[in-house]
Amino acid sequence: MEANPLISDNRQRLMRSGKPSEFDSITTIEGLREHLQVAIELEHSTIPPYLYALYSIRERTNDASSRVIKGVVMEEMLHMILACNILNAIGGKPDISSPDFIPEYPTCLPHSNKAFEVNLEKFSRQAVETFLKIEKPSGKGAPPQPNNYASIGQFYEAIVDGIKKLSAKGNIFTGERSRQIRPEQFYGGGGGLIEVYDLATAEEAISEIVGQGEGIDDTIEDSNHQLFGEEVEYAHYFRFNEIHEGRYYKPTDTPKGGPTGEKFPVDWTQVHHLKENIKMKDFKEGTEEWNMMYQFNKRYCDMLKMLHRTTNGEREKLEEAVLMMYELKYLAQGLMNVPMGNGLYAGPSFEYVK
Amino acid sequence: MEKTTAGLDAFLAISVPLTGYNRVALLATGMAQLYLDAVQRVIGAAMTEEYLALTASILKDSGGKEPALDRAIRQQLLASLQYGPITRNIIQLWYWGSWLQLPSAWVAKYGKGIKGNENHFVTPEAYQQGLIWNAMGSHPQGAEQPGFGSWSVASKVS
Repeated sequence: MEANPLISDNRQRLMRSGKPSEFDSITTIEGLREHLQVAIELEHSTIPPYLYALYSIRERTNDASSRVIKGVVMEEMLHMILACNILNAIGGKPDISSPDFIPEYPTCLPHSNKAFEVNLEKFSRQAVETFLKIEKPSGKGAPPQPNNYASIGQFYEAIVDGIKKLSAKGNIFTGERSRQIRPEQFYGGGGGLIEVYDLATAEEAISEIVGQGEGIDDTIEDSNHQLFGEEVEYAHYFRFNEIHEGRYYKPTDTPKGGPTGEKFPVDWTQVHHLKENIKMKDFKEGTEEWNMMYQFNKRYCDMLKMLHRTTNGEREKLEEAVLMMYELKYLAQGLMNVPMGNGLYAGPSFEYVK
Repeated sequence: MEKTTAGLDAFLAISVPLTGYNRVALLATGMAQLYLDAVQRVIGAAMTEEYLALTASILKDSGGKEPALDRAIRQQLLASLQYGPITRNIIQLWYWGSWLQLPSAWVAKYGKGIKGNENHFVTPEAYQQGLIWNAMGSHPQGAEQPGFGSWSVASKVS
């Protein structure tokens, strides 16, 4: 697989050397690029768990919850591409196709404070509780944290600080504009794609990422409402909380008060009983089941390769990558009909294969 | 394996050579039980049982091996006045997701008074799950999104 030697090697070295200091602050352009590479990985790492839960919901049931998870996952995809745009803008090269790009579930969020693990698990109260932890707002006055962050927002705060500090010393936006994925290429997703070429657009991109996830300034609204004048949509954390609490928010509700609106219908029983953190090795190699798992993972890795090309100078490839994403959906849903014994069913394992 | 009825296992076993898709691919459609139910609903439990007993013996006698299996399916199922139309309907169920009306001559001879024999999709999902789409390297029009701009990319047969 094509990898970006510079970034991968640096990161590998950092992780292996166990020297936390280098990742603890953002003082060089290389350091900033490494942090943005982690941001891409961070955004990506949330997508398989969200999809696993989303597809586990039985057809024609739990419409409201499905809509929430689907909306969130599409925005995570947007965030991943936004992070790529920022990295490309500062002359970096997103690395999406190396084997260690894909986390092994259960996993902690990359470079987080490891307060919780994320599983590939079916739609359940427990899964939604994890989703709430992922999207948890920083809270007022939480400091930027370039490493071992408690909330994703704090990690991005550190990136914004780094961008500001470094661009005060000279222009860091040296990336070729032709490497940017453009808004008109992003069709039907949540929010808008932003072309990044200076400090203002970089900040705008990051506030979209953080705003959609956590909400802005202690409100339950997300950033699209403020940035794009869209209909009010609640940030991820609060949308997940509606599922968790079984109740809708009202526009006048506050983050602290919780949702006080109408009942939010959730039927936890209308779910395929999928094996948690399934792996290909749960099946005997060469069996029909194993082959189907392999077929999914192969397609998944092919899709990542296509995204790698898309974000490394061949932006017109996005269409083909999207096509593969839809195929992945149908392959994943197929796996969820395949029994494994003990009343459990298979699912997409999101593993690296050659 | 999941606890399945003996009927479903037999139905899947014969569906593999009839469709050319393996057992897991057929299970992945999520439609197996619904198709078996559809057959039973129209031709009745007794004839379904008879049919599956015959298909089980064909699979056993041929050892599931070609060319014996192919020959037995052609001679004992497809060429049979009684079982031919049922067999063709099972193939069509898998490929189209829909039950096609059994011919009137068949009904007159074997199925007087049967109900539900009109053309129909077994469920809305059955249309999406038809093997035809995969076989032609396409997607169920109007039911599954292929992705924006997909019309500009040549279809591929996997």
